[in-house]
Amino acid sequence: MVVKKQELQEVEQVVIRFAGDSGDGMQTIGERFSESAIFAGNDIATFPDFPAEIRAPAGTLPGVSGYQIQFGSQEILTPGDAPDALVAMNPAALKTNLDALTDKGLLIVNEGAFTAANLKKASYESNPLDDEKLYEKYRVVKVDINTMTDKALEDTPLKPAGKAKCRNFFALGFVLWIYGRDLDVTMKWISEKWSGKELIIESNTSVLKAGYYFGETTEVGLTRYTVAKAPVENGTYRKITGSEAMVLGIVAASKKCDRNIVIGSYPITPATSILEGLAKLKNYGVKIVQAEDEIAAIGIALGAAFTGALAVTTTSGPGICLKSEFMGLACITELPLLVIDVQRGGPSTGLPTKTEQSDLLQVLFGRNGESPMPVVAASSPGDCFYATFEAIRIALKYRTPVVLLSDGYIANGAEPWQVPIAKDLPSIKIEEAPIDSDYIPYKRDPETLARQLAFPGDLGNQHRLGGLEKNHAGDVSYNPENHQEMTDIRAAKIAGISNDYDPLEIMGKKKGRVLIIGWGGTYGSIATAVGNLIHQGAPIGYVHLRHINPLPNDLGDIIKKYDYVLIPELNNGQLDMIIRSKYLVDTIGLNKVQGKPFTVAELESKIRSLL
Amino acid sequence: MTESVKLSKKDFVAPADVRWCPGCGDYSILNALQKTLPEIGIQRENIVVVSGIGCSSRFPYYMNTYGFHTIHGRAPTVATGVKVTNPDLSVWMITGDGDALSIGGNHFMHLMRRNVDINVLLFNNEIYGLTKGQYSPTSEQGTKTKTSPMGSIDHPINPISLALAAEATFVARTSDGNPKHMNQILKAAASHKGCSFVEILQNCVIFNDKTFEDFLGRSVRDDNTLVLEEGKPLIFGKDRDKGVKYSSKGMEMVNIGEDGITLDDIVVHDPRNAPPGLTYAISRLRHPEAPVPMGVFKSVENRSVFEDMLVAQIDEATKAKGEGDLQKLLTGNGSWDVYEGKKSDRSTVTRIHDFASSEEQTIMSELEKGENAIASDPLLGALNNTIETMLAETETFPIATVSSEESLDVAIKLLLEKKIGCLPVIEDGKVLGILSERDITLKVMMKNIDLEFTPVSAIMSKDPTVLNTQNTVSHAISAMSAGSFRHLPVTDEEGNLQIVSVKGLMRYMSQKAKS
Repeated sequence: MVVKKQELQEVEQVVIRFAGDSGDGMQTIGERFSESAIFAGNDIATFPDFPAEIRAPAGTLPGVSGYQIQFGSQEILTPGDAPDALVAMNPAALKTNLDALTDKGLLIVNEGAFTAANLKKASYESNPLDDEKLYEKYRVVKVDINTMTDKALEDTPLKPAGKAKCRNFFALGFVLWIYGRDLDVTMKWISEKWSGKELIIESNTSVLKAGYYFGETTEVGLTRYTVAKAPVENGTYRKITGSEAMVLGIVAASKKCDRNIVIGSYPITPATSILEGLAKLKNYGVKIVQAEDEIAAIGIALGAAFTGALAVTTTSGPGICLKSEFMGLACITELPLLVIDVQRGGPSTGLPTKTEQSDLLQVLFGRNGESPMPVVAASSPGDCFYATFEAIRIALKYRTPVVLLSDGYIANGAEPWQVPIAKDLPSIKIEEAPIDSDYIPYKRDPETLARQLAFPGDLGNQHRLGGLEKNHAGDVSYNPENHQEMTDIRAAKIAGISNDYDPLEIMGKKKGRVLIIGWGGTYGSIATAVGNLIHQGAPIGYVHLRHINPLPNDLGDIIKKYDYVLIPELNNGQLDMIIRSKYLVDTIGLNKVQGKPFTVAELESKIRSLL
Repeated sequence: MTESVKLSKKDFVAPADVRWCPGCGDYSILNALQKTLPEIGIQRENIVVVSGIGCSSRFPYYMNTYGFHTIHGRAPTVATGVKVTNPDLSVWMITGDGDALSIGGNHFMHLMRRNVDINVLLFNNEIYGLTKGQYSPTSEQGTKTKTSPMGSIDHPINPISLALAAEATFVARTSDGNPKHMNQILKAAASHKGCSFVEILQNCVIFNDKTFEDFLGRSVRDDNTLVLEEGKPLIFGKDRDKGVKYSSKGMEMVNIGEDGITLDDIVVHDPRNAPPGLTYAISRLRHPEAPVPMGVFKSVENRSVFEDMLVAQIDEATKAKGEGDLQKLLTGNGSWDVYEGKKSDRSTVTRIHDFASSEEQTIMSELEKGENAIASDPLLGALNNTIETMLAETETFPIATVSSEESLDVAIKLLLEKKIGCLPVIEDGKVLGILSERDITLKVMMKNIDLEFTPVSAIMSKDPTVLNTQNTVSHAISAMSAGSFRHLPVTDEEGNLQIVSVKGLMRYMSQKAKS
């Protein structure tokens, strides 16, 4: 074979999607590729996309697992709309992902998996690789990864099933070659991951190299690409997912409020990773009770809040349904409690592994009675840290349950994140009532309206809380005027939280044609789209809401400065309903519930239509 | 825990008016607990009474302790949260047959199996009282109520059998009509380490009056109840002539002295060691076929208490990994430092250490691995420490500074005098530059420079990199290697200046490697 040195063509950003069977290790190679990109100095954003079933039947359409990454030399805020390159490990992966690939995109297929049986499982009538149109539309590289992997492992004692497990590294090696990355990062990872298992280390490493050398020594006639380093502020960085960031946010807040963490949670996709992350931090004093159900989980957390812990419960939409009665109790007893809702597609079981923003109205209003509750939403994986810290700050300062919204997309997605300096994080410690002090449970701070707290064990401050309406002294009261007054006070207390907020930041024009209002995990897509249009001179502004309840005091004035207000949401118009009713403005919604984030293209096109 | 003060019953009476129906059995239970608690000797502030919803669940409002009247069926969860947060507290949970066994059946079971050290008092009146008289899960089949005008068709549940099946470690039954027995049982429950379950047969005067009268009534109770006492045979009857025999046929009620039955044939009650089958069989004894057992069915302390194990794991983890350090956690095990002087690119990205492994779809594994790696590798750990920590742990040397207008000869003299390798050049509290041995070697020696008339500003290295003492050691190393510096000024929060030197770094790392 002729060794041909190909030139590397420089591009600003690239989107790659790895797709294969859920047993093929696509998440693994996706993660490995992300790390190579990070170590090469690129900015990245990732989107793991896996099926709800742990192992759907191998080779079938529901069993396809994917991992998309965008990496670039500029700031990268989304995993990209459409892949520039698709790696398809079998016919099912090709079928479910091919539509997404850009025209003339690079398609790498594992030819060896295109057997009659696999084609049938993917419901292909004929072999798509025999279709000439495929080659007209895309740049196709057929590689028999199965055979190549077996060949690379000829001399090892690995059984066929073991060899098959190494195939993903062939694909990874080949892709690393295309994008001019070296193998060091991955080889080091392999040797650490399977430390002590020499056979597996050797096998995976030689398959990885085989994939790389395959690119180098074969005349596949490919253009290779390189992506330059992205500009970035000085500091220490790490890669982080939204759920990891929430774990860190909870621990950081616990140190800064000087309370021990008590978690009551029940496993639910996609929130489980937060619970698992916290379970590993026992040496940070984290007490975890994996409860018998969602209701017990919040009950345990509320009991802990009553006893003075930093109390947290984590869940997803269906869990919020079950927790709502306890959220009401937390509201009337005015205890600090963090309720994390990592949203997924609904209603009911819906789409457990897919993203959506359709729990907003539920967390705002899904309780009996007048039970206002602050709602904070995280906007990106790294922002999950700060959003968590802020939600806990509010819960403690105002003695209230707070709902913190994340979603499947930012919970699992990863991005590089500048590590905060622990010492610089502000204290969020609150004062409790002095002991033996004629304690009155509903005596309030005149400014914040927060009631004073005392905890079991405090001498002389014995008191009783409960779900019945109380008067100021803390005694049960059915008096009509008292109920009116207490309801009004609880509402005023929550409404006053917005006085703490910093002014909203407007991206783009301070007044103009269109104001885009976003919230939660859509930040990356909207900011990219808005950034592109602003660059082209579009008279638009964008605000992204961290606080959904109460809304920022300055939002009303900002809204008045634009002709149109566009609210893109991954639901059927929930924030839209709130903004319309609060500001009496004829907003325009951009709504989508496909279990997928917005593409930059669809956002740009909608905004353009209003210019 | 606070200092122990001798208390009496009235200390446990809360100011709130008690609002149960006149004649309700709840009054006697409230009295019994208010009388028992001072005898146990726990201070009021260390007692928490948690309840669900129902007539019985108003109980916390009447106790001058900490209390939480929660929501229907969920008291076990809140009580668990309280106990787990502060295991020193004495937690009492008040519930009813509807609250515990109907809406809260799930939590009831899990509280028992977890063996959280909570005392559960279930007031069983076999009716829904607060909603005004509907059949409950313990109502006899055929009970006629407003929702079962033709008689209920639900088969009732036996709370004692259920608690045993859920592996409760303390299970007992008493009644509102026998304060003395209640007092004994409450004391036994309080002293039991683990979850204690007490069923209290309680009369609802309004909706289910005298439902237990057939066996608890004064005239019939000797014949129709069986008092369980540890180490004593299960005999009953006004004349103490009837007993319970247990054989392969199951439980038999026998008359002692008839058919050759002697006291030796009668089961001796052993709540600590009896086989589970026997204890369960005793729990199944029902009126009218058999006497109703009253007393402690089971009391074992062979199983660890939930909150103790939870705390033990935290202690174990802390011992193995050290108390968690927030900065280390935030930095993680896959961090890299970016430093580039003034250019805004990643030209000097330094790889400090590699990403920890991350399993397919198990995104969080990095966290723990990071902890382990740091715990086991002192050098990795040291890299993540702050510069402040390093300076605190190593010998530091005095630093001297000069102003930019100072002449070179003064500066050089200062270097020699203090035996130091560099001088930060300070103007208005800011580091304008650094004058190092290297500057002197390269820019002064061999050149015809008048040391007396040349200011420091002419040869110093300008605009030096200044780090914060909160930056990591690895950050310092990458900054120094990128700029080929041997000395790096760092400032702390107050703006105090210190110097990190290559020598100091080497010393620190070798010190760490040795440890």
